[in-house]
Amino acid sequence: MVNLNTVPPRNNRDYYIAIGLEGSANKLGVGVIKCSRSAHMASGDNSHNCDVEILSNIRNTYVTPPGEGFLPRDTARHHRNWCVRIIKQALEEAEIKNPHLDIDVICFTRGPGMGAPLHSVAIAARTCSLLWDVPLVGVNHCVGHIEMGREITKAENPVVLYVSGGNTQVIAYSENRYRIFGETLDVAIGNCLDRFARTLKIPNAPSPGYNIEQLAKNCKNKDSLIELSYTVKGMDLSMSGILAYIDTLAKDLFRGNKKNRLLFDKETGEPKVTVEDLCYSLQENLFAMLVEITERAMAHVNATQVLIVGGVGSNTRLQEMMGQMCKDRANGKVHATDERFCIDNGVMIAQAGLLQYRMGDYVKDLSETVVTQKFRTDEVYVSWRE
Amino acid sequence: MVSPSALYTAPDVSEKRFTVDRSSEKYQTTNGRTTGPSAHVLGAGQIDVDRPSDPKLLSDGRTPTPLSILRMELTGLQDDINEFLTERMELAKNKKLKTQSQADEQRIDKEITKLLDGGDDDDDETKN
Amino acid sequence: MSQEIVDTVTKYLTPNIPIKQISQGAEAVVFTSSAHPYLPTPEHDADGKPLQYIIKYRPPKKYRHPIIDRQLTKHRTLSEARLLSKLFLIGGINVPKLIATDPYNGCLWLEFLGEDLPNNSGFSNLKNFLWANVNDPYNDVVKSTLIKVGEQIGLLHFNDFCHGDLTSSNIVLARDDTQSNDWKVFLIDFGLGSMSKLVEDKGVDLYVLERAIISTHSAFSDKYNEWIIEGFSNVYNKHGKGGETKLKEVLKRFSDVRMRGRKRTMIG
Repeated sequence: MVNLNTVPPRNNRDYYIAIGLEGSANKLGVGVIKCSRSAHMASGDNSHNCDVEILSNIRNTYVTPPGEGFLPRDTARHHRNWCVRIIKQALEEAEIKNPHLDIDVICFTRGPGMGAPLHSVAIAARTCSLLWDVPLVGVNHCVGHIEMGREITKAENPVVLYVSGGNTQVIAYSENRYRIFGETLDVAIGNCLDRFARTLKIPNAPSPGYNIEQLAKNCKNKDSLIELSYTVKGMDLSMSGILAYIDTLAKDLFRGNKKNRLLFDKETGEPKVTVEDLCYSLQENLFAMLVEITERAMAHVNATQVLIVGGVGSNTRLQEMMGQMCKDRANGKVHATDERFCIDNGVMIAQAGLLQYRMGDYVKDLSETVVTQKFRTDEVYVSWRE
Repeated sequence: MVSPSALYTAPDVSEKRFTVDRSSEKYQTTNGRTTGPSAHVLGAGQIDVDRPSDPKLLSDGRTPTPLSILRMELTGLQDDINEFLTERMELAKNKKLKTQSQADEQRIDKEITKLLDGGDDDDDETKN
Repeated sequence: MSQEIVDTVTKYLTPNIPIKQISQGAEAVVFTSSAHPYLPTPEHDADGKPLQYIIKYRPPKKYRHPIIDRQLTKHRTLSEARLLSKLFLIGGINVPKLIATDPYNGCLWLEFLGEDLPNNSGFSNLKNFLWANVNDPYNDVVKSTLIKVGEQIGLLHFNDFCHGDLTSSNIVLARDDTQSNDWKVFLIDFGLGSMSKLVEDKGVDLYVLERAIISTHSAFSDKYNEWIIEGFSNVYNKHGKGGETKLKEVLKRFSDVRMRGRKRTMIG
């Protein structure tokens, strides 16, 4: 039995208010949530159904010029310089007048992610904690995605496909841990798409993946595909070989290397393949692999629901393919959220952090707030589920 | 109003204290010398939209608000600390270089990059 | 499972072939049937009961592009059939007997293996067997079975084959004979299998299984994985110095693959 009302709200309120600070990659997000302390949360398994009210969800993304990735030190600088503004904006929108009285807990991303950006946001969280005298909770970024997805979609016990810039994992809950059933053996899906986009100088705003999706939609020749290898290994997959190959094609196309017969006509030298074709083929191939490993995990644990989280999860083609897969399975159902929650945000950190706080698990000493770049999803003890 | 200060200790240095000299110009700006965008992204055509805001002024239109004074002093202090630490890293690098093999040089280089860039050994974001 | 798939497969097999669905895996639907694809009369076992056969059908996957789908279905069905027929000839390796195959329609006919475990514990694959033993997780039968699992994988790898999808659901247990408590271990589902001399492929194979055991049988996985590796090593150690050297290489790569998995940074 799980009692989510272990810690009462501060200041004799009958609801909790949590603020979440996220900055593990190039997005800085601050969100405020409100959650009533209803009696039904004192027992049972209700962590996916907390009646969360989102009071504010502010995000600012560090965008680099086309062809460039984000360097940790510049990303950290972005977070440092925007942090106060974003926090103020989030509080204002949530109509929090007196954080000292009105906020129960400050949640921040403890990892995984890039060191320097994580540090700068953790410092902001510590400062707020001391300034307002409000306790802290360090949150695993991946668990944040999962809990937000469960709350929004009300999916009770789904297989989770977590796809983002740094992660590609198939996760299922068992015995107080989110266990990793399958994952990439090399690069992450988002990283794969980002690097491909950089070679083609596809803009980074709003995000490289979004632009690839739009280009793929505009592919004129959807009946044919550029053949790419299909590298599913059980519930794991490998993408580095595919990336290396399509990257070579992209480079040849970009530089107009007429010797490449796959891309250019032997006689006329006219291109046979467009950027749109490359984007389309890459997406079709990689997403088919993702859907397959998800289905493998579902079959293995006898699950019927899928939840897609992470930045790449907002891709409508991926959602559509996953939906099709679920339709062919008994009672299969796919859950996905839109870019407000799929893409890194502060609300998800607040949601996972508040669950942890309500179980009585919060920072007792500031030395526990050191961030960690490598923080696996299955390291977290999930006390808030049966 | 009290100015911020910082204290650095390490086994091989006697205590190093950083303090604010209010008369010096470097404590009167929110734009630090060492806290700007990296040369790399500027070279790639980055337009800096993330710079810190200018100090806010009181209603007289000349005197900065107390919080803005604090921000400016911290900016200068941060510059002092960054410069001190960079120098120490260079020093450590040179010392080691003389006495140790090339493998060590690479290791130290890596450690320095790690300190600066947050330490993703296989950080695909930046090198590709 | 959706009725659509049943309709497609019935249409393909014709209504003369009676089928009963027993499971829907990720890529295939498995049916039993009493009809043999080319023998005129049904076969019977020693007790005179009609034999059952397995029909493994890979339905078209609508989520993926038709070109990818056709290629994968054909490739996997064909390579599974090839591997099964090759492995069947290797002494000591237990795989189901291949009866017929139609790669273009994604269909395989196989010998039926296994039984239902007592106390409604489900079909006798390794996963259900381990769950059925959860109250006495380290008993002798569990131990000897897991060592045999390791031996099957050892034989597979020693002969330069890789499975590609080792999980506790893809290992089936069948009674050695009706009298004994012992299980005979069969490897099934070779759709992702390959012939490979590469140490890397073997290391990944072992890593995939280790992870499957950890995530599915978490509380006892240390011991279970240890027994599997014990059985695995037995096979190599029977082949003198050469075998030992090969074993070292595979186990070394296995631990490298594992380290790669652990050390990989995960940027949100």
